[in-house]
Amino acid sequence: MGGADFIADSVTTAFGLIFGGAPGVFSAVLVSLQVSVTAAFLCTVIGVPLGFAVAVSNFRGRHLLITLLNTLMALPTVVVGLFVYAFITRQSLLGPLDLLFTRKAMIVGEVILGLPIIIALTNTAISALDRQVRDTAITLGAGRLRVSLTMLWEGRFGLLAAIAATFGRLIGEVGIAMMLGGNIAAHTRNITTALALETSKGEFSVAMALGIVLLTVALGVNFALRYLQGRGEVRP
Amino acid sequence: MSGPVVEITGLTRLFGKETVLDLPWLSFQAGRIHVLVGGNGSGKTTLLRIIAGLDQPSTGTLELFGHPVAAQSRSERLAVQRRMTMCFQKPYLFNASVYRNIEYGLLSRRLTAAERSRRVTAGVEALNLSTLLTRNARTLSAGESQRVSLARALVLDPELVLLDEPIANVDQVNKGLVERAIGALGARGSTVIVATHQLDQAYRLSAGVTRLDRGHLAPPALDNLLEGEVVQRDGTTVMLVGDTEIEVITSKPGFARATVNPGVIVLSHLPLTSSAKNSFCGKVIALRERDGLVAVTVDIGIELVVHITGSSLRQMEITIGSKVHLTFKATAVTVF
Repeated sequence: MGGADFIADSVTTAFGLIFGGAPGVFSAVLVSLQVSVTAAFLCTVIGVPLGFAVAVSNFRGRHLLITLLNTLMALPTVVVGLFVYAFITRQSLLGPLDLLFTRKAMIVGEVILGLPIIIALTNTAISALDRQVRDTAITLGAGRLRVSLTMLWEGRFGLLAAIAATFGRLIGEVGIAMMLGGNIAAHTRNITTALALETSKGEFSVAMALGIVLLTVALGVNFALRYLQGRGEVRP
Repeated sequence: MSGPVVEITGLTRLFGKETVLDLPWLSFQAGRIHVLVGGNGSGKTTLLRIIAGLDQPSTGTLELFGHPVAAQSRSERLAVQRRMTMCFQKPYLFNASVYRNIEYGLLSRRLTAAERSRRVTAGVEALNLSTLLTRNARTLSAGESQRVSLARALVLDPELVLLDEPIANVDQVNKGLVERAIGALGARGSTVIVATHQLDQAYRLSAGVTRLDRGHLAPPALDNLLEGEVVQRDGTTVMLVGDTEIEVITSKPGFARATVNPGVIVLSHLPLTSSAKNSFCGKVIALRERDGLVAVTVDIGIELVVHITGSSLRQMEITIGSKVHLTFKATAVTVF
């Protein structure tokens, strides 16, 4: 099969999988979305305030922390998977919670993966703000909370980009899903683990089609975020 | 309140090893317009930022509304912040509509929606912003932004307003509008401190001008500052300063401030016959050496300072109490 035929075949298969109602694909998409959206949401709730705090605080070791966060953005997913596995395996500390090979375990792993990304990018977005945002809010009588909310509002485009980047990293990862989810069909099998399975079986067209499905889902989420950004954008 | 709204004692501000502000004592009285005048790097903005609570002095004390700032708790400081506001030379407008920008400060003050709307409307009308209300503030020109920033301060009805170069970016048409708005703030009892590098603007706004030079208080910017009514009389324009009439050249009638350059006033024992329109007889009441010259203060009904050389003083044998004549042209009077 030539390269062009392979791609055409993959695209046709992808459309067939998406619109043909294949239950395995729907289930994988659902797992991917459920796990990644939940993890991205938790990363946002935890990471944005932490990133904001790093940006506005002046403490000893701040630059070291930022360097560490930037390094952790490149954290290998299997390392996170292994790390969490060590804590949730049956004989370990959190073993009684019975998290191994569940979506919850995948979410925990993805939150650990996503947090350094969202903290580092939030810090960058807030640090890049004009210093006068804070000064103006203070001189207009805003209290500390309102000053912070104003800064977040003014940095909202950078924050949405941070959330989009984090979500992109989470939905595309395979190491954590494989190690902590176990690739159990209709339970923890998501798009990336299904893709890895089909590749190992030699079903390259199906694997490629799943790759296209993954990109389509990511594209949809990014379009939604872009729509939110566009609503507040200034057009002189 | 009467008395000083802002009082500064032994205040310094260092950036690294460089002292950018060193003020032994300075106060600003309530209910007046004060102007800080000085060039770039004179410390005007640093002083305003310290008063606004955006910067901390390296040493010294700052009292606002009669209370030392350093001793205040966070909530007390916030309460003080809400009695004052500051407009910046390059104002930051939030990425929202002009209306939302002007309303921003009112939201922290727990006013009803109707009261907020009333105040925004009044501020918008005062600064001719009615057509811009729904525009995103980020799309405005520098001058429009400056006016929105001023409206945002006006609507708060603050007791103390700090304005950093409020007319720097405003076009000629709207300069008068902004100056009237500043005057209106003073008229309704707010204490206003304006920083500017323009001497003429300083004196148009107030006679209370403090000059800063490289972070230090400097001698007054002007000798012979006159305040009075400009009127037309027998085809000429005169300024009535008390009972003294001084011929001036200006097209603006009404209250004005003016100055006469002490270096261009001719001092003589006898009246001069010349084209100069202003000629007065008076008595010397003070002599003071300044920068190699002698500053002769003459009472002609008002006090005018004349600069002459030491040798002229000796040749003319001028002493305190001498009767002299002062002569200067109408063009020697600068009306602000």
